[in-house]
Amino acid sequence: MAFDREGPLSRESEQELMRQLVSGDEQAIRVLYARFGRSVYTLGLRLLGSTEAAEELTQDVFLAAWRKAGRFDPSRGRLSTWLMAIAHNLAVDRLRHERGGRRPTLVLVEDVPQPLAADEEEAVLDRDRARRALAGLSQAERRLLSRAYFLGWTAREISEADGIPLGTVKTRLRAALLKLRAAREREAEGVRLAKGGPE
Amino acid sequence: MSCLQVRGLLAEYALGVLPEDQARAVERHLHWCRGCRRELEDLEDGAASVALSLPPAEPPPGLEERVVRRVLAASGARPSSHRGARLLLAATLAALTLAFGALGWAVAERRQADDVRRQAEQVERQLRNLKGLVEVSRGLGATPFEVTLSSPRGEGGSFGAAVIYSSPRTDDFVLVSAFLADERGGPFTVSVLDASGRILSGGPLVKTANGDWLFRDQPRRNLSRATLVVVKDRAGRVLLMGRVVPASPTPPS
Repeated sequence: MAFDREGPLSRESEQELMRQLVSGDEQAIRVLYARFGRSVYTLGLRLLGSTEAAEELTQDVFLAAWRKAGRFDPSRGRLSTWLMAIAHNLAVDRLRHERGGRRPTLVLVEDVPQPLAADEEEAVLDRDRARRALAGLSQAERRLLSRAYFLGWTAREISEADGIPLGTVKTRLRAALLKLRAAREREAEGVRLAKGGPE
Repeated sequence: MSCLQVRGLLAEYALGVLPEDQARAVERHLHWCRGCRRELEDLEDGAASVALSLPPAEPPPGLEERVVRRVLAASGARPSSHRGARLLLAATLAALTLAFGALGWAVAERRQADDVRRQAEQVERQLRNLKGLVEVSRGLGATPFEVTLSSPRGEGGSFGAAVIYSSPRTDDFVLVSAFLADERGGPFTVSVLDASGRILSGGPLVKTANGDWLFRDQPRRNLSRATLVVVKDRAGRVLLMGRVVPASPTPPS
């Protein structure tokens, strides 16, 4: 099966791409990089703070993707979700390792970015959906997510830093993530309907 | 750990910030609890939105080539002459195990596997193939282990084998190859466990073009502690199970 380097992939195509990746198929690696290389590099740059570290992370992420490709199950989530989770976990591990197990030092000082203007939203369909999803969060929810996702703070650390009860932090984190998920799902459904029907 | 306790930790787990000991406890629960896995999938999808929303940075030219070369070298598809001994060993073991998988279950033979004796012969043949590869891996400094997988209820028709390499010089490696008589209960999952029941490696079996089911993994864990390999169906029913034993140095007669 040949894959386009852009445009949405069906779940079957995602699974086939992972099967080809398992066997070390060069085209599969290139397709995966073309689709997600920039997102992974961007996350690495924002979390780790240097181009060198972001490049190393990007290589590590795709190597890990090859190693774990046999575990990918499209019925349990999208390829973009799976790959970005690998990227985020590796970046946080790296920060923790560099800090000797202590809380990762603040590298990224901004909160989760505000959604950008429409004329800037053109690169990747996933990015577009994600930005729209974030627009549905309150400033407080974005701040909370930023503390956990970009700074690697646990719920307890956020609770202590912000003076919010631990249970409230956990509840809000969960609610914010589920809101994002629901918003992405609505966006994806809108795209499917615009194309003439369900996937 | 109960579902209620796990649900209270899943958001942090999805965000990758749950402390290590709690994360392992959550993973043990997730292994058998489908409902919590579903919840986690939703939360991880939300977490991915945060990363994907970032204004894109432009990767440097040449990064794609470095990524491709590194994965190819590790997969053994085209090992680079510039790789160090560690990656070379990983690539060699990966190639060996893929060869093992391809040798193991010829479709024509499998279709004739209509009695227990013939199935047993196939497993034995599979293990003999494995032995030759095991000797090579030993020469590369890895400690090989083997597993014969069979139904715990004595049901015929499904069987399999696994090989585990453990080496201080590279990530440990596990490959499971199985033939499943009834494929309706999928997705099927593999777990590699230690004596305390801790999961060292695991994931779904993937069907190959030959019709075999394969699982391979290079977890960053010491697989020399593995004692048991289990294959389950979607409902959590154990289909195949086998004890991990050191690979014997001589082929079986």
